[in-house]
Amino acid sequence: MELCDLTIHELKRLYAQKEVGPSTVLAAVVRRIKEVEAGTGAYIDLELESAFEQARTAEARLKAGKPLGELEGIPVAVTDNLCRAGKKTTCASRMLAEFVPPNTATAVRNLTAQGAIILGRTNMDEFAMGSSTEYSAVRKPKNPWDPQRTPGGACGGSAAAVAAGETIAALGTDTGGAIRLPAAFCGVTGLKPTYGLVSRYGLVALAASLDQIGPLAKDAQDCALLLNLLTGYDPLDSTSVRKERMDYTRDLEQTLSGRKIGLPREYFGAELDEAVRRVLMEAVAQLEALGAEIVELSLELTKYALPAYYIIAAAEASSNLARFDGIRYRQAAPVGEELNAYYTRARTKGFGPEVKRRIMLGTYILSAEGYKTYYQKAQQVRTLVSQEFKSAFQEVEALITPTAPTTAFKMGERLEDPLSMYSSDLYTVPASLAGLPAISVPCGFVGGLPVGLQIIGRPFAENTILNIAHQYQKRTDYHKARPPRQKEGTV
Amino acid sequence: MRINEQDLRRIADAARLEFTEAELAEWAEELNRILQYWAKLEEVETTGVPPFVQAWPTSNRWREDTVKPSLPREDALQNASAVQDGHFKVVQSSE
Repeated sequence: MELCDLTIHELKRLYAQKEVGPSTVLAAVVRRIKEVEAGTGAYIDLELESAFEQARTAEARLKAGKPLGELEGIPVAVTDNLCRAGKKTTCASRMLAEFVPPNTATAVRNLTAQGAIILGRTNMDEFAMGSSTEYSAVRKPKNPWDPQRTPGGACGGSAAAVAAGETIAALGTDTGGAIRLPAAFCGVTGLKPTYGLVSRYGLVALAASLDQIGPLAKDAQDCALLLNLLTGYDPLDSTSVRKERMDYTRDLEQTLSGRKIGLPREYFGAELDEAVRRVLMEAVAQLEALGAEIVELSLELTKYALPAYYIIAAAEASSNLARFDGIRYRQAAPVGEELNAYYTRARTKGFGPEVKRRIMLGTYILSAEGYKTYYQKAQQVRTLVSQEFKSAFQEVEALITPTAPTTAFKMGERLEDPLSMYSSDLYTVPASLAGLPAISVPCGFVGGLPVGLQIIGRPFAENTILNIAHQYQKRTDYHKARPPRQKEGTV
Repeated sequence: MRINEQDLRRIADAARLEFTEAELAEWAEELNRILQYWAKLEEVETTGVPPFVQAWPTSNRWREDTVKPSLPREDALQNASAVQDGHFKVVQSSE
């Protein structure tokens, strides 16, 4: 294992013991990027010059014995929908190809304030709409475990970069599973925090009632370290909750003995791949062996969460993306045409097929004809889904489910069939609708491809799901497996 | 509920998007397939169920009305497709 394959907590220990410095670690990460990036396509853009400069600064602080930030000298990547002042932020869309924001996302600022080195912007589905990152207008990234397959989406670039050792950790955003699904497909650990826990200031919105920023890392312990820095009330985000900050590493070592964990039947139905189910059931047995009490229960509305989610997400996306008018985001200036004709030309040219599909569906759903049948109904179902979780959480502390019905699917396989693409999110969207925290952890392999175990928690109980994930990872080695190295040009 | 090509033209117009005739025919079929699947929600009894409004109850957050520096005009305009006299320049939209 090389330095670029290590975790944040391992590197922090090496830094503290002065065994290795940030410049050496960054050099190892960059070596790996040069070796595999042409194959994975995880990044949209790299900022290596400034990264090396930051590494030298961190190195000097370390040598001088100055106080260090929590992430001092740790390379981190960010998805391309998180704004940083003066740096391009494109959402992998032609619409924002030249957009340079004047502001920095609070989540990113919170990491850099603690010394994190930003390596660059990772690839994603255009405006985070997709489940395979094939809707990126830049290029289609590949799964590091099998270049014939997608890394999942929408934050496939972040997940692939972490898995391939092209970064130590990454930020992503999760609306209906965009952190958890690629984490599962790429064999990394990804956490979607409770709605409102992490400030979304500076995030280009997809669906404002669902979006959350969260970490993708090599284990649950790193996710806890990152979450510690990401949380905190932010007056710049009106949905940011006022809660006392807590230490998410605090409960990692607690025993699972006597903990009640629910196994919802509906997540293990006919849609679930049989081999994936077998791997999942082994994970359940491991948790039982760790002392957890597994309780089978029922969440009957699960199958309705997918249509409800897509209706709400499309409606909100169509409204959010109305701002992209061509006038304010560095498009070519209008030339002798009427204003609406200009808007239409800029938007038709700027948006890709999936974005257009969701804008069209969302516009219809919010129209007089579509509103009652689709939008209002979906919001009512959302209330019921939320209530169903609430009553389940009166009985159990957490729920375990598969993260996805299958392992990573082949490139192109679902690209022309939106309903089949949407079905990848079957198990991740229910927690999103209810605003609950959920984490995906690697729990085994099927045919050489990683399988993800999803742990869903009560609102703001990230400490509980991180504890379960960490205890599981102490007993298993799946999160330590690294993909076979794909040489440049072999894919 | 099915949408036809004429509905689609109207939706596209409202969304400020343009499609060719061939695209419209293709889209009508595809969007109807999605809407048909979404109509599955009809199976759920929702009489008297309030629509979801927000994940956690929050109330108004008041703050002092104090004057603070705002985004400099130059920065606010840095992504404009065209600028004139310190403003976003657009084309004429009405007679």
